[in-house]
Amino acid sequence: MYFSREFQYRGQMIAWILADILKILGLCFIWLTSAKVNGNVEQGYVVTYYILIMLVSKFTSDYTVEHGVRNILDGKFSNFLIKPFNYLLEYLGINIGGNVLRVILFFPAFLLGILIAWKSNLWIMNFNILSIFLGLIAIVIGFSISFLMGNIIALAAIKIKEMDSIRIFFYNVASLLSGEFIPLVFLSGLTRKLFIALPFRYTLSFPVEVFIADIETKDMLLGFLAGVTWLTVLYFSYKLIYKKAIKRYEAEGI
Amino acid sequence: MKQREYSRGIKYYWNVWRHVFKGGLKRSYLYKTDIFVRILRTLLVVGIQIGLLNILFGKSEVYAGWNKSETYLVIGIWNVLNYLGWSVFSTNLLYLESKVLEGKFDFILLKPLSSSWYASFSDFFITNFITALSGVILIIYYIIVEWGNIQLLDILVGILAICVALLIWYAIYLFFASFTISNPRNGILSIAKELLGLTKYPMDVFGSSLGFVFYTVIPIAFLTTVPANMIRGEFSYGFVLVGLGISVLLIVIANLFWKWNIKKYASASS
Repeated sequence: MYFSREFQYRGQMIAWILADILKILGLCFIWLTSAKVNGNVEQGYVVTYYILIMLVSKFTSDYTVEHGVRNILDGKFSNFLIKPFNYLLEYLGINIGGNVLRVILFFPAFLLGILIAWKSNLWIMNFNILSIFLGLIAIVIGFSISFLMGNIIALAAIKIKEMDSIRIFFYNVASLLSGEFIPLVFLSGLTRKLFIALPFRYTLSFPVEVFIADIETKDMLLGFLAGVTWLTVLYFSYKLIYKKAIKRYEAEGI
Repeated sequence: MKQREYSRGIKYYWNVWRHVFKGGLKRSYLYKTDIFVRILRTLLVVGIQIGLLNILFGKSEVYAGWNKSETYLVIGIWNVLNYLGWSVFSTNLLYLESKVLEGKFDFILLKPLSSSWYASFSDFFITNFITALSGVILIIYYIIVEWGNIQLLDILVGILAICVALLIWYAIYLFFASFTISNPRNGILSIAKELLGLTKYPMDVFGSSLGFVFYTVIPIAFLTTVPANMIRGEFSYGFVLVGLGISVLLIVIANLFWKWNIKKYASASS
């Protein structure tokens, strides 16, 4: 149902995808220059990383911070609460419907990106069945983490009515720490440890690292363990916050 | 829809905007948490940008022909343009879509003012203005660090170039936003946002071929790289005049497209 609804506005979605490509191309040029200047990272890695980031982000993005907040502020959240199933299930459908359409619309550009990178000797990923399978599992974990984080942030709208700044703040932090702005490979020391410890990496950078297979088995296992741990922590945090927040919900938008 | 044309003096528009500005300031008292988060975000924005530049530079002193303080200057100019834009016109143009969908755009057309002006400047967002201060901080940082190497006249001409850049920024936004009137939910404004986002770094990053495109066909180099080069004393003052010409041309084109899209506006929602 939500796939069909999103399909009505495919023109808008194509524009968003084009905008996303523009942003990632910009980031790709910036880090390519850095790789050239410092010689610390292979240029092919940067290009492959950003082409995959574009695809993985289409799978793992969560838009609850947009529509979930709006539903609470408009009072429409009440409609979701009285349905005979958990509202998270419907939110999940909204996100998956939108994401599937984004992936379908983006796929031709993704293939073109691979072709151009391949011709320029800048594509370093080997199409290995195991790494693709593990990468897909990492995507499922990443999307689930994004989804739970989005829902936790959205619940804040029950108490705070002006959510714009919080939403933008969350996006800024997520973009910075997920590996979109800064690939993990460029980080070192404490920053790298912090990046690995926080949940954002597992929503974007980690699946890409697994796809590229430029990660040691031990680090990969630790990554999966950290991802599942964050998923559990976020799930119980969500349950706890929801229990407290729903008591304060006043459906004032109605 | 054919719109009735109104011609008013600058003084009239200035008086209207003064009231808009006061309204925006008053609203800030209502949302104190929002203001607090914005201030926190300003610090985060500067922190991220400085951190990011440090990682980009690595052990190198120069990045695409620019030293660290010079890239702070480029990012500072970008912050001023971007967040000042969001506080004065970008947010209004972003909300244009919901106005068109809800039929509220009819009220804009009925006002005795230029519809493009009113759609662009009908509200003021103080919170974004606070974030714009992060840009001012970075520009001042550059001036202090390079005080011995730069000239006062170059700084003044650079500030003039930043004002011209703001006009170009506005024209680009207005051009892309105008298509919302005839075809809402087109997502085209997000392309403008990302296109302007490319100017956060010196254009030299994109190499000579793309760099040439950004100076000519899509003149986004005039937004940050040219003003920064004016302050550095690298470019002749003639570039400000070229920038001014481009800004006038783009504003004229944006207004033509605005009028063209209004003719195609069907006002279906109302």
